[in-house]
Amino acid sequence: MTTQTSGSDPLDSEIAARLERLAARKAAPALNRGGGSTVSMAYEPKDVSASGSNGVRNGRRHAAKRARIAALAASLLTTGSLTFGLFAADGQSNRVLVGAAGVVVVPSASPPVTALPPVSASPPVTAAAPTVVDGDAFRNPYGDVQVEATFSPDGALLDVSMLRFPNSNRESVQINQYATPRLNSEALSAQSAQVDTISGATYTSNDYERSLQSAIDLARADGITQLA
Amino acid sequence: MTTTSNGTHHVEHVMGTAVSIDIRDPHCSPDAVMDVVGWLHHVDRTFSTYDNATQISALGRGDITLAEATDEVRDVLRMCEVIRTETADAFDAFDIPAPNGTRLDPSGLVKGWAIEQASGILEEHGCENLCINAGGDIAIRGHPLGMEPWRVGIRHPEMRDAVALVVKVSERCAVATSATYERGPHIIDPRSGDPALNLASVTVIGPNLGIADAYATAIYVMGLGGLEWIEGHAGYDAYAITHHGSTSWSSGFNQYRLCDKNDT
Repeated sequence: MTTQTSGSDPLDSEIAARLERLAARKAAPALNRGGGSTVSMAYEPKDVSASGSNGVRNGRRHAAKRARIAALAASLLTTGSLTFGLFAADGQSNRVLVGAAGVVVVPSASPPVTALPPVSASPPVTAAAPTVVDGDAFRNPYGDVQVEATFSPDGALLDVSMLRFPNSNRESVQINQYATPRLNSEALSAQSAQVDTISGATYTSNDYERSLQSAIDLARADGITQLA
Repeated sequence: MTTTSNGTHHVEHVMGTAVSIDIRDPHCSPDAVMDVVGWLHHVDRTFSTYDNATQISALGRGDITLAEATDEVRDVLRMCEVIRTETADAFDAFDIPAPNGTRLDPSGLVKGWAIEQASGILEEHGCENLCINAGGDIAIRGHPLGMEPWRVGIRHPEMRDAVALVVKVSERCAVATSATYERGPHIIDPRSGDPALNLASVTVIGPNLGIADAYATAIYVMGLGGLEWIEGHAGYDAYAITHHGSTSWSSGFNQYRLCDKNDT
């Protein structure tokens, strides 16, 4: 497919017809600068650092949630597991629907990872974009802890995961019915992963400066072939 | 550009992103890298949808016809048309909002295609062991060292500095990821015009980066059903991460996973 060089092709008539249709259409208004066939959405600007700055994600709109999440983190540390009731709404129709959910602290030494069967056994996903909110970092005698909560568009609490951990970075917290393998338990630091390069969604030239790939490139420019 | 006993390395800012060129052959000519840099800027001047002066922008406006376009532009649009048909419009370069205000945007394939061609340029210069990473889309040749595989980390969709998975690839191979991160651009479903929201991240591995790039975008739009779809495309496999953090992959993907605790 990559080596076609001839001046004509059976596809050309179809392509030409499509181009004519485009030209005939009233051009749509220009969109925000995204990238490729993408369009930027109006997310809150955010400074994402490695371990998550305190509550920077959607911080303006979710201060109340963050406070509650910090409280949740505090209670997690003291109880290990707990049962909690309904959160109050924060005035924006974001009712949190979790009721009496069990919280399971899963030590990473035995991650609950069983490879999902390929495709067919996977549950159908119909979720709209969830909102991810970082709680404030909470300091306790064992170290810092910070949790991240994911809310569905209707305000349901989908997931709480730990961003910072008091003793190690290999514990994850699971809430509610999702018994799927937690991606966080698979997450690896780039150092321990010893990768040569990173695949991900296209970053802009500016985002590159803060990317893992730029760190790899800096090392490579010094003749180092692997982060160690 | 830096050249050491470990090879030649260069980062070029072009096509709106950073392209990392990592050649592990110890004595590859600097001309090879310069030729690739020239090629990438040529692609930008020809295909960018952020520049009204490119052929693609002119085609989108209807200022020129397909017959007036250069061969490489026709080749790319033909590939787009083939993949549009294959994906039942989940990938459609001919009806998608472009930054230049037109509805013609082959960018979902162009970057991968350009990097695939760039790998060919390096091979013509005698380079055999190389990795070109264009903003997260990767073309691989050979090995990083000896017979070792290249280790490619797939970025964690929620954590900028973590990888969700490491895959090992070697010889002729491409890795492309489509994803929506916290504040990143959304991917539009060409069938509805709305942002695609089913998945957090899709990675496609296969022999050709242009095709892998477009397939990753298409599967991101299709959702988990896209993993079944790609089962019918020999040589290409995919790995998807949902917003809930669960992971799924096509049957052939296991060959790329490193043997680690998650494999069983």
